[in-house]
Amino acid sequence: MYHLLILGSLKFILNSEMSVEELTRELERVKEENRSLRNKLADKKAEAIEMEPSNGYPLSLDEYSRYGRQLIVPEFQGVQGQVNLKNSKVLVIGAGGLGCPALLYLCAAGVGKIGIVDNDYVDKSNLHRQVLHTTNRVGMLKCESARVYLENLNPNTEIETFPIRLDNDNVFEVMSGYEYVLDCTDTPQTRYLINDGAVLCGLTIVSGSGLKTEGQLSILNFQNQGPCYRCFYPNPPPPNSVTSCKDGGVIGPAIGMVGIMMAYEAIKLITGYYTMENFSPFLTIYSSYPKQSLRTFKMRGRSEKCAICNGTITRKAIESGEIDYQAFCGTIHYRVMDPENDRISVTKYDELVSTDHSLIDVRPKEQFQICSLPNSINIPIDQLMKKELKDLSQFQRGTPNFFICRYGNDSQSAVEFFRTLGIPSKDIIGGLNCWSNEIDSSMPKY
Amino acid sequence: MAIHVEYFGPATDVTHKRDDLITMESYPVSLNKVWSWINEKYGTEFGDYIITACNIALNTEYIDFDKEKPTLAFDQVQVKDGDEVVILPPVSSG
Repeated sequence: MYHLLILGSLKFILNSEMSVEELTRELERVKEENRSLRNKLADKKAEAIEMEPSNGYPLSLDEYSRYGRQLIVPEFQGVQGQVNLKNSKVLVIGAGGLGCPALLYLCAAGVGKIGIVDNDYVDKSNLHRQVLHTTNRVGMLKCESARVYLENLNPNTEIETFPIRLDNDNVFEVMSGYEYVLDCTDTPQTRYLINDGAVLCGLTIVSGSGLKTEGQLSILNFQNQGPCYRCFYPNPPPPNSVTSCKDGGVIGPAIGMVGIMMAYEAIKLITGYYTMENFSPFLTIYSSYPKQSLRTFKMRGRSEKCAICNGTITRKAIESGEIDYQAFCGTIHYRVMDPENDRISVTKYDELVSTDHSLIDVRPKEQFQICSLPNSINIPIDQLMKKELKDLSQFQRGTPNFFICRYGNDSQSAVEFFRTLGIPSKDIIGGLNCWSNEIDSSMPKY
Repeated sequence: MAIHVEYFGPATDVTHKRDDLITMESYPVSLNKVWSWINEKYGTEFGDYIITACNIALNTEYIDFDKEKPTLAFDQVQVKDGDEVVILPPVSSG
């Protein structure tokens, strides 16, 4: 290297007839480069030493400096707390609004092994809350996008990804080898499946959920003795009461708060803060309006009637598919109207736009304000359903009535409602989403 | 003074508000009284939803009740002036 540098300098001298000042400057530059390279080499060697467990200490030098700020907090249970984290194996199901912040803090805190289960791909509409994913990773598997972020964050954590949908066939295999599971999923059927799997495998569950401006947090099946999800919700919610973030909306920090609290509860579990003596089952509710608030409710113990805790539901019954989570939770059966008489396509409606008719948009007013068709009037579905015949005289002029919504479900309910009042109407198939796809691509999709 | 009834999550889709203040003629009353008030105001479909799918807390503690015959347990629960009755529905999204 030196020889090359000198040769280079010589050539430079021969070619350029440098002055003494110029030669001195060049010499200084080469000296500086040499010093910088030596430092880099020393850093690399030190880094390798840092990552190795140090002589007589349970953690590596890297770990002492990385985790120093949490290590000195009394509640953290000291070096033993950190060693527990390092030896722990945590399964995070769902790398979305809850999973992302939870994963971030668990990995940063030094959990030894993290499993991530998610078969979904990053979508632009996820980015406002799913903080591990980035604009340039839209279209990538969420579990892999999360891995990219986490491996950069903390090389001490081993990441295992499962790009699969958790179901009866794989739940026991995925859970094997893990001690804790974070339920960061978004449907009741998955929540019951995770619960049953965790109770049968002996995993403590940190359960979180959130929607709009609120969230819930709980520790279930604590040390395989505390109450489980079924103890508190033996019956699934009616399908029409189940709203997704896509339909109901969600504020990023609201779901983020719950994800972060989930990571914190996992840390308290792993470091050994909770014991059978001091642990009391709870449900914490976070609300962000009217003011930021956390309310913690004391739950009861296990229920004798709980089908999973009392052994009625067995591993065999789950694996054989005898326990059908989809059927248990049910699905919404949208009224399907007759496409010939009760419905109209976006193309057909487009041809009728300039004729005399009424167009009623039944979406909530917040969505109507985002975008709407010209001359449409907004009557949200729940308000429409409360109206009586006398309130609706403007739709009884004998001209056609059309209903539209976001995807074409509520608009069918509106047609059905008008029928009960004896007012003829049709709904626009596929709603504004379809209008944007097929007629006017400048109409925003949200 | 009054009894404070609070609603969370999907329950607010029905009530369109976070809470109600119920004034009773005298205190304490049994939880059944509050229960009837909720059913009268929001309909029995909402009442059935609470019994089937939700939990109920009095102040900060869950109330234990049999989903088949909830009023048996509600009869035994005394609600005082200033108490909070909280409706806690399951939320599954995340």
